Amino acid sequence: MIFRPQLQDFRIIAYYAGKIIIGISLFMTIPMAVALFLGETNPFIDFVISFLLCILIGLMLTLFCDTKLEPKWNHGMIIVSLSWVVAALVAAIPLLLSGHYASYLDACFEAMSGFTTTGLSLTQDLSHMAYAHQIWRHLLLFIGGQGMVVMVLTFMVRGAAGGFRLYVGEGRDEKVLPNIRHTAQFIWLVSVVYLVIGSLALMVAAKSGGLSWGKSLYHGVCIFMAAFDTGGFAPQAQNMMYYHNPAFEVVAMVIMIMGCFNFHLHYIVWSGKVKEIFKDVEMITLMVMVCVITVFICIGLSRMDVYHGVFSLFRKGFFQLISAHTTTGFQNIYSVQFINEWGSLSMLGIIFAMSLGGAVCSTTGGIKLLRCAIVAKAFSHDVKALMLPDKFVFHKKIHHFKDIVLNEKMMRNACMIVIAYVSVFFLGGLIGMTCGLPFIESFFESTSATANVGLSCGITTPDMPDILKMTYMFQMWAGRLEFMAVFALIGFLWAMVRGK
Amino acid sequence: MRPSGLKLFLMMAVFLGMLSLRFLAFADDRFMPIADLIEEANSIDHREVMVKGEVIGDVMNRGAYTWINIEDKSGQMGLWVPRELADKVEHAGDYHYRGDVIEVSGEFRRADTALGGEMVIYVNVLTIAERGFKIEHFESNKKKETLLLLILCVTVIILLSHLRYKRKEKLKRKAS
Repeated sequence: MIFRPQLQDFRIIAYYAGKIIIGISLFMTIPMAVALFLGETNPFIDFVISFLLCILIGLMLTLFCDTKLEPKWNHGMIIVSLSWVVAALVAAIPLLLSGHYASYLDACFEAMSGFTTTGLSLTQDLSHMAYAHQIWRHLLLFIGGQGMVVMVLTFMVRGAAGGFRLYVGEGRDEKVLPNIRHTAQFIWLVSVVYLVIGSLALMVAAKSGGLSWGKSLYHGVCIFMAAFDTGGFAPQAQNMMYYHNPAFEVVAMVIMIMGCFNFHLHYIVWSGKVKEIFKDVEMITLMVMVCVITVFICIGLSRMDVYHGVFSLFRKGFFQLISAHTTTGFQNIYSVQFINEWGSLSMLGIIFAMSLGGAVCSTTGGIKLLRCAIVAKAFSHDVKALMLPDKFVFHKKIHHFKDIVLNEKMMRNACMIVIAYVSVFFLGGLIGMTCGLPFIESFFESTSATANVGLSCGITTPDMPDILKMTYMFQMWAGRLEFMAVFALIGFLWAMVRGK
Repeated sequence: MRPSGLKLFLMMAVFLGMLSLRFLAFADDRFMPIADLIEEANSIDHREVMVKGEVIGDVMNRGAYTWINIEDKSGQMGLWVPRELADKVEHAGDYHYRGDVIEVSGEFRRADTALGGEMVIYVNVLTIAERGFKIEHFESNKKKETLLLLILCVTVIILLSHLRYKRKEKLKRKAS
């Protein structure tokens, strides 16, 4: 029997959604300050309007739905899934006011792409966009990469139990530290420390490429936020091709790889146990898959005679692979080159890398390395069990910060998520084909959206059908939250209608 | 009857006008849209092309050569330009400026090995078609009105919340 939600359920959900909206509005003060400093009057007004609107909505929700009750598990999932939608709707307001988006739908698409750290873009005339709006696009990656809920937990939530339920609803089920609030604060600390170091490194690389110091700092900060949060936005329409700078790309690759590490791994490395990087099952899986897919991409590109010279092959092929595997989405080739020049084998390698993704409890998307490792281990265990005598007993074990014996529940959960991802990949691909797109391109773009990668083979443009825009928005949202929170919201809405 | 001088002049003017229009149309046809360059990259690899577009972003000096990115209605492309030609460019486009519109001709390379596999035009001729200029951004009255309305609404909400808080405190004190 399904129980209809009560008034107190709505109050809890609305209260925390209101807190998240207020949190988003506070971030708008950063581009506001940038606009003021650079004399960008219109963008300043855009952000003040958006800030006040968010404050108004957030205050109304928190005041009129004020509650002392802690959120339960179902509330946590629903708050998270609903908040991401609401946050995208309000974050789209300054983007729409910028005049660089054809419609509110396009602005919402951009906001959702930013928060989910996907990086697919519908911006028009990006070259002439105000610096304040550019900073806001990249801040969306930073907020979304850390997690909106993490942000709220750091500053705004009263109780630890309710906070953990929100944290898990956002697709993170590993605590870095025993206290959830400390976990959230640690994630922010790591991000800020790497922001300083990473931006400086990118700044030096950009300066060596001929940019001025000011522009180098600006591009360094933007590209860091896009790389570490594995988002893939860039301040120029050419993306990484704009810089024509291999050193810049190498630094960006290092940052992308760091962004795909589990935050728990960052904590362990910061504690001095650097060797854990080579023992952890996720890192081993990453290294093995990168090596295997590199081979396939090299074969594919060589067969198509795309690049002459090892350096060109490495620079373009390996960079795109890392960009896909870490689900960042930076491109140092044009979108149509995937179709016109790379060929099916290399494209399939990229699609496979995108679908795998990075580590759990990181900024990346995709199925996640831990789940892939669990499924592979389960498969190899079952094959071994067939070959060994019946009475022989052995356990399935993996090393993930400590030795873990795999049980049926873990394997079932991993398989469920894998099935959900693959189903949504195909569903999005099918909708793309219904809109008249070829199979491989449609599947490529669908995988890119669901796994929150952002690589495009040319389908994602302002001219694409609205149904496809909404499909990719749903895929980005569902993929980022790893489906459970989305299913919880759908269940909640169903219960509102059919519950007793 | 012989045509008058005025009629002859008008006929010549119309003829020259049509000729110049035809020339302009022909002149625009010489420039390949950037999207076509990218789409047909394999077939025009190592061939001379002409492109026209606005300089965007930054002019990046690299010793004897410079990277310039240009943009036309269809896309963006990188140009590898000798320093002495690149120095002609004064404005690059961003939020505050419309960049110089340049016409270039040079060898198109789909994946140049010397430049790490980049798609690029090795420029040998660069002319400034239009100088860039500072863009005037006008403030919208509608936005200003919306701003005032929102300030009013937020002030009301803050006042209401303050009154509510005061009332709660009063009730708490009475209860205790």
